[in-house]
Amino acid sequence: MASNLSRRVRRIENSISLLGMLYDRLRYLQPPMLGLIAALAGLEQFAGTVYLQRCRGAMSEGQPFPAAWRQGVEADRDAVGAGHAQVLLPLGEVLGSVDLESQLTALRHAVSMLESELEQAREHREKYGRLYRSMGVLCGLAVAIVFI
Amino acid sequence: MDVQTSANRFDQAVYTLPKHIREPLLGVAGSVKASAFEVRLRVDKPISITCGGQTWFLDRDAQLHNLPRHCWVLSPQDISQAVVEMCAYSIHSHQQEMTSGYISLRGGHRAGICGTAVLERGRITGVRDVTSINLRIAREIRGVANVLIDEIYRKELCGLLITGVPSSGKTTILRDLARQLAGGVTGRYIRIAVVDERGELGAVYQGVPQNDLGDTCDILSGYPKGEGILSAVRTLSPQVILCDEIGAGAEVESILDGLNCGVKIIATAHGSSIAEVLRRPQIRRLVEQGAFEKIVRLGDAEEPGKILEIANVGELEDEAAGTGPARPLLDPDRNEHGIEFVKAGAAD
Repeated sequence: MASNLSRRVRRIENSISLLGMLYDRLRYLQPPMLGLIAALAGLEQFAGTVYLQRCRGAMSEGQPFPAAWRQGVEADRDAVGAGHAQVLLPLGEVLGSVDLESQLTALRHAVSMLESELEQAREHREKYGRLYRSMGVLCGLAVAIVFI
Repeated sequence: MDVQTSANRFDQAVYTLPKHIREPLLGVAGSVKASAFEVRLRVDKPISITCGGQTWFLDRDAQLHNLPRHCWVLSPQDISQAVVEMCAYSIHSHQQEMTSGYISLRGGHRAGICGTAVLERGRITGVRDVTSINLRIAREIRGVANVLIDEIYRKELCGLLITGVPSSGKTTILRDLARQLAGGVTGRYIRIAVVDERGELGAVYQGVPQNDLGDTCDILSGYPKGEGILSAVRTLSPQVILCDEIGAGAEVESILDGLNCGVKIIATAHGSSIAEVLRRPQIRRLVEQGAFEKIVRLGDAEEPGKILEIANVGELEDEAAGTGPARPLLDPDRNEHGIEFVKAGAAD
């Protein structure tokens, strides 16, 4: 359970990093979405980002970005968590479909929402992580006592 | 270009549209596809296809009609979706083009867009509420510049101004000239820099030129003409710079800078006659400064690429001064330009 809390933190950090890269590349290079998603999905740090990999797969099969993004996030919803997915999902309707400034605004907004999620996730990890670890140790001791 | 190839170009262009719009278009008869050069989409109006002088209206069953009655009408949502799909869900990649009124498409095609301008400090920064799209089907006409190659460039490399009315084939000739000069047709490979501000010459799409501009051609895509010319002169050491539709002050200065570096200029300008083109102060200044040794006049839109006249600038000067023989015009109905020529270098 404690490792789940840490994994959630890492996933949110990973998404923040991804959205930051999307922001920078859109702002300075303005590449087509297919190339942009493929380039980011090819980076080692996002090799395990399931929704991004799914999105790339769907786009390379010819799906338009909004559908591919939605498909990717929905497929990864259980792993990333409902709050995290709720932040990511609307980006599919905005990225590539509106003017650049509106896309950048949406990304900034999403990053700030994810930062709040991250803060909560870290607090949760601090608060319950130790508890879960202690409970694990105590359970282990209890099992050992029973066997003795 | 044969009928099948022309029809394929049509299919390639309409394939950029949303599925429900493209399907009736793909079902149109091959002969219509082959002769179509525009597909027009307008809010609350039927889709129309322009073939030569004829306009056809399309219904949902891919049937064409002379009259727009009872045809399928497009909604504002259809048009918005078409814009986003033509941009391949990458509006940001085409934002600069859209402020200039078009979207470049794969295959060298282009969509002219018409909507409400978004202004910031008096400058267009975007277009919203697109109301119509003019999908222009690009067709390379190889060999359309053969006359210019044979008459001029087999003998010498010189500055050339190509003039003509809209749709007279100026850009098509310019493209073919680039391809032939940079393709070694004259017996040597000329280093060409194409300043392709509107993406019509090389039609670069996602970094790949969609039109063949020859083996020794560099394409500066999306550069404003003035900056592109300066950049080419500084970094590419071209023998010839090609650019479309010159006439603004900024590019004139850059062309003159290029001339001082020994670069030849081949450019186009709108105008129904040489006299009309020379009445524009910026063009006249370039001619006076020796940017062009020859001026070509093209025919009208019904015969794109037809060359009516090749004039020597030197003879135009003599004629204007009344000292030389009448210039050898293919079109003898004009001989008076009313232009005072100043010898190169004397304008300062």
